[in-house]
Amino acid sequence: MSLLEWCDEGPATVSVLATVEEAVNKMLDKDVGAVAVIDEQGVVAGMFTERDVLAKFALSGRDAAATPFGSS
Amino acid sequence: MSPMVEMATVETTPAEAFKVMLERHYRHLPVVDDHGKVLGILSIRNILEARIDDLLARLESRSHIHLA
Repeated sequence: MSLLEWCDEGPATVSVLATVEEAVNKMLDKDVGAVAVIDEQGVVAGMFTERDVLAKFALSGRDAAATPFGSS
Repeated sequence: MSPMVEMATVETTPAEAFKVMLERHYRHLPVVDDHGKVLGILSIRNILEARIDDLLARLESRSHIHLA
């Protein structure tokens, strides 16, 4: 059995150049708790999850629309 | 963002994927191709749903045996 059979269709992804706001909107649109962060070649660079939002961003006082992943 | 140290491929077995997720406390694991491109994202929710379906099917078959 392939793991893909258990995955949702159309994985939620955002560019490595995206902001926290874009990632959160993608999670809300897709009703998922994480997005894969991909580089210009489509290669997975990391995951951005609800846990990252809570642990690294929520109480930081930073602007989600102006905060790139690199600083979150 | 959390940089990926663990990713699954289509060759990864469900048991291997679950072990990584449990040991590392991951709720999501990307499934990638040979070039690292994302094919899907495995989530704990997906696994739980599949497991519940499996358990319900087993319960169903056991109740049939009992009734017979």
